[in-house]
Parts: sequence; structure tokens; C-alpha cells
Amino acid sequence: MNRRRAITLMALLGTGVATGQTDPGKDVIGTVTVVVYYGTNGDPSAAGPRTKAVPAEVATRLSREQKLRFSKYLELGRDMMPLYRTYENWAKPVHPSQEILLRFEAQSHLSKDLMRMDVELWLSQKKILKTDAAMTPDKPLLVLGPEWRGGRLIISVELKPGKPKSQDEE
Amino acid sequence: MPDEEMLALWVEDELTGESAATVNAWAVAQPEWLARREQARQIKGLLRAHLPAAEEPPYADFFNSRISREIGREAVSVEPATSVKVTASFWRFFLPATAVAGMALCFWAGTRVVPTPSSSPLPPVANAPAPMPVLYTPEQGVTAAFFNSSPAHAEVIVLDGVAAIPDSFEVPETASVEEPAPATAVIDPLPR
Repeated sequence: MNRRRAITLMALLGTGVATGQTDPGKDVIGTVTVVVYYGTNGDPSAAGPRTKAVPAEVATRLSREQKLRFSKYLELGRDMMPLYRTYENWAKPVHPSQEILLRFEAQSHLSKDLMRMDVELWLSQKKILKTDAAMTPDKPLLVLGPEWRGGRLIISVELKPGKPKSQDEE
Repeated sequence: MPDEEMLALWVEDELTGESAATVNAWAVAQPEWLARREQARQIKGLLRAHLPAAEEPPYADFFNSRISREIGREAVSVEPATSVKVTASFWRFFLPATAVAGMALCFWAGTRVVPTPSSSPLPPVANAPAPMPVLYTPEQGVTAAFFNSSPAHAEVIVLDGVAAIPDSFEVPETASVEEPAPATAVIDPLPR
């Protein structure tokens, strides 16, 4: 009986120690939002019924850049993931499909608002692009990507300070 | 015939008495062995002529006392350089203080050089053009071009040569969710 009590006590102590330990590398230092847009000059209904209209300001912003100018934009998917201090993370904007994936990782703080990040774009399970873009809040990285159904995909990567609410709760 | 051990001792002139006489009697008819012994004798003679005589190993007491004596002698011979040593020890004391002062100076200089938002005449870094990123496209035939787009207020990478996403790809029902999403889309504006 005594032995059983001792084992239980040790297990409880171990659990307490394990939960008390924190990994500073898992500190959330920002939130990365990845959105996949579909830009087309043709029939937007080709994208299918599971798309979403983009806000007017997004369409305006995209169409201001000549390389990204299309007559119609739709949102295909989005994901919002925490940016860890030392660990990489993956965004799956067309979850649960893995057709479009984005791997990201903090690299260095160039200034208070400017962060260099490792960003990798994976399409169809292949790494297509790797870059060390310097990201600033509210200034997205827009990647004009592959063709799809008569249009092109635009992958938007945006860094914001803070962390998702769900991370707080965790 | 004598055994090998006996012969080896005979060649080295280490045999005495009856055993030496026995082997000598046998070796008279063995010119090869006689030549070997002669060669060994010559080598011994050469070694004796060129190597100094062995010294007696010192006793422990003498050994320690000799070391003490040698240390004392060296200390006396170094005596004229006392002033240099004093200076060196002074610097040894002064160096850490100098290093600390240097670090403090560098830190102070750093705080003066890095512009603060309130006092710096320079524009905020966020408004400055971001450093040009490195682009790597591992897939053959794929190229990437980067530029800052002022009209779109965005950084833009244009990929060319990327294989098209198959038209068979359907957007999953769960892909595009309303913002903010219940679990992940609410941003805490004040990070803790």
C-alpha cells in the first residue's frame, strides 16, 4: 500500500514538473495568415461553388499591381497559424487538402516591425519556392503562383503581431 | 647444439663457467656464430665510445632538494626583471577594468547610434524598403522574380514556369472559412 502511495505521489510530482516546464522556443511571436486567391479574367464560376468573394479592399489592392491584375478575384481558402520563436510551422490554406502548403519559420528580427522569415511554398507535395522575405505587419507577401482553371492562384502571406486567441487558451 | 636462449646469451658474452665453455667448444666449428658474436662486440664497443656513462639515479631527498635549489637559482637570475614583472602584474589587474570600461563604452555608443522612433530624423524602418530576399526555386524550369509593389503596398513574387494545378483539384468545403474563425482567427492585439 505504501509503495502504491509512493508511486502515485511520484507520478503526480512528475506531472507537475512536466507541466511546469516551458519551452521558450514555443513562444508565439506573431501570427501568419495565408490566403489563397483565385484571379481570373474568364468565368469565375469555373472555380466551383466552394469559393468566397473577396472584400472590395483586397480586390482593389490586388488590382493596383499590374502583375496581379485580373477582372475577378475569389478566395479559395485561408489558414492562420502561430509563428514560433524557434520552431517552424505549416499553414494549410486549402485544408484538408495538401495541394498548397506553406512552411514558415522566424529567422531574425531586423527591427521592431521588420522580421526576416524563411518561407517555403509547396505545391502538389513539391517545394516550388523558398525565400527569406523580410515581413512587416500589414504588408503582405503576394506570390503569383500556378495556373488553375483558366486563372492563376495568388498566395498571400501576412504577418501580424500577437497570437491567435486559441494559443492563449492553450 | 645449444638452445636458442643459450646462444643468445653467448653472443652477448653473458655466459659464464661451464655453460660458456660448452658453447665455446661448439662454436669453434661455427664460423657464422663466431661472426655474430664479433659483430655484437663491435656494436657494444661503439655504444660505449659514444654514449656517456650512466648516471646514478638520484635519491628522492636529493631530487627534491635539487629542484628547490634550481628554483632558487632561477629566481635569483630573474631578479633584474622585477620591474617588468611589477608592470605586468599591474596591467593584469588593470585589464579587466579596461575591458569592462570598453564594453560599457560600446554599449553607450550603441544606444547613441541606434535611432529611436522619437528622436531619429530617419523615417521608420517599416517604411524603408525591405532588404532584397533570396529566392530559390528548386524545381527545374521555375523562375521567380521579386519586387516591392507600392500601389499594392505589398512584396510581390512572380513565379513563372510552375506546373498548373490540375483542374481536377476541387476546393475543399472547409478551406475558406469566415473571418474571424471561431478557433484561430481572433487576434490578440496586445501580445503578452
